[in-house]
Amino acid sequence: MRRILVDHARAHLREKRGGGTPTLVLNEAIDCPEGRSFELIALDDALDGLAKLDRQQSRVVELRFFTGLSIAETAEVLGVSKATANRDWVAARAWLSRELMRGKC
Amino acid sequence: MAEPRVNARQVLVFLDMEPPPDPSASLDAKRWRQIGGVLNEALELPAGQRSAFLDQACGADASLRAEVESLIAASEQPVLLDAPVLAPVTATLTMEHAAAPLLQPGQVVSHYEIVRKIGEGGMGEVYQAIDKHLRRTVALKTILDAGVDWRGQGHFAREARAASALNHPNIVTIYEFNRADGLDFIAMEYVEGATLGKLLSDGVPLATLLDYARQAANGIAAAHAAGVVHRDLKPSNIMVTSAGAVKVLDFGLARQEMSSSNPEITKSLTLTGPGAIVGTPAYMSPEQVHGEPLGPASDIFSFGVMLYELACHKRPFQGKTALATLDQVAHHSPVSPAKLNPQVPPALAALIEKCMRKTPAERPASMEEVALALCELMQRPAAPTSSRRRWIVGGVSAVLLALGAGWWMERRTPLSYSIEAQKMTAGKPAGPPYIASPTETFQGGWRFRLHIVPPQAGFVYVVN
Repeated sequence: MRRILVDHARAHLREKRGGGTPTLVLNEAIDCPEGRSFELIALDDALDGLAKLDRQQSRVVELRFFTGLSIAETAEVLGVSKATANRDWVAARAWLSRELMRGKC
Repeated sequence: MAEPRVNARQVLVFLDMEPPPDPSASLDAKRWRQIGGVLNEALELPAGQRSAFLDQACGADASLRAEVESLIAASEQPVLLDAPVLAPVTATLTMEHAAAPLLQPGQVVSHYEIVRKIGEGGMGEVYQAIDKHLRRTVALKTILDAGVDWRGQGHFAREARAASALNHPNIVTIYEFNRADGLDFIAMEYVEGATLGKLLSDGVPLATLLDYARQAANGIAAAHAAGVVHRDLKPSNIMVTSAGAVKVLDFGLARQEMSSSNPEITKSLTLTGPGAIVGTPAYMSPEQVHGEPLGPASDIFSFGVMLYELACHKRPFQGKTALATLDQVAHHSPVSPAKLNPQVPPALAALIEKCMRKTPAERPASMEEVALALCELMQRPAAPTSSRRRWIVGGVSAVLLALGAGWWMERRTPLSYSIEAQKMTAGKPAGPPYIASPTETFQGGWRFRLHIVPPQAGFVYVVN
């Protein structure tokens, strides 16, 4: 899901810049409005960085953000306690938030 | 009857594209774990107490404290992450060894009496039942997904209605969908037989499978003409009855099924909720993968994938995970059929390749075209015009086949024949021709053509 969405975002931006690649249009049904393309790509890069520090945390983010699962659902999928999933989420979110803010400067 | 029990166990499936975790923890990772731990504890405290806590937790480690403080600040900002890209998506799988069936034999739902449970799908269960009014056997499908809007005005309801209006020998007819005793259900034609997937694994010869595929194509063409796109064509959705009739199942129903008979070949995921990508990954078209609007061309792609599988006994797209498979569908060209099976006729390989073009506009223009191509494939022309292949027309009630004298005497080379039948209205073709079984019965108004391989003189007896 993450790969497909990010590919969409990258292709969408390529197309905006007038690239020659065929257009991949994000269907409204996927509910990912245009303006998020840049953010998605930045997030994707940041997530790669997080994965090197803590793979489980990056997976938590993928599940929560790209798939929309709750903490409880994330915990169940990963086979960890809700408390662990929540701690992972909090830490990952903080780290990514900082990364994204730094990226903007 | 009480509120129906949810039969399907809700299991969340993590669509995982990442390789297995790397066990070696780097220095950065260890440090991060330490930072994360302090961060979590700090955030659990009210803001006023954090400073004191950090004094204690970080001690002399200034960089640790700096890290944690900057992260605390960052976590107080709204982040992109707070709004998930997709609304919650739930994958529902029905386990093979599920709990006791929802309905019991003898139980009555509306005017149907349950006979027995015959299967399970992602949407609910399928039962054999008897229509008490019409005294006929039906298949009753229960729908457990409360989110499905069957009877409203939405897109799904409209499609369901269009699908239920379809009436074609090669499509499973839907009789009604309704609600009784708090249970939503679909009543449809009862079909007993084997799926194309099962026949494939049973070793049925390719020519026969193609014949079945062709009949399925006729049904799909009729549905397209009525504005219904199937969206989930695959070998387990095509049934061949013991009488040799081909029926396409689950038309226009956007919810998919997990076939319990052959999980390896037909595993599918049901995704519900807005933004869901619905389909069976191995058979999905590129436009389905990308979530783009679908048309008949999408069915043609899925049909091509099926033909590929029939011809090569292997799927063109098969990744380790569902997402990997979707990625292949969207971006990769499959191994050419000729490489996997040198005996594949070039015309079939070409048809498969054309159906599976990534761009919808490059595929065959219609399912009728595909059906026709399959028909031509099976004619195997040797000496074209010398064999008598004229149409025989008439009001008939049965068609029998006999061949010239030479047949009984010496037949060294295997002989195969087929009878092509086409409905006529007012002297003009009224539908696509299809291969009839030699003992099939027709009402008036049909014409027939005999195909023999290798071509020989023969007779078609038409009996009234």
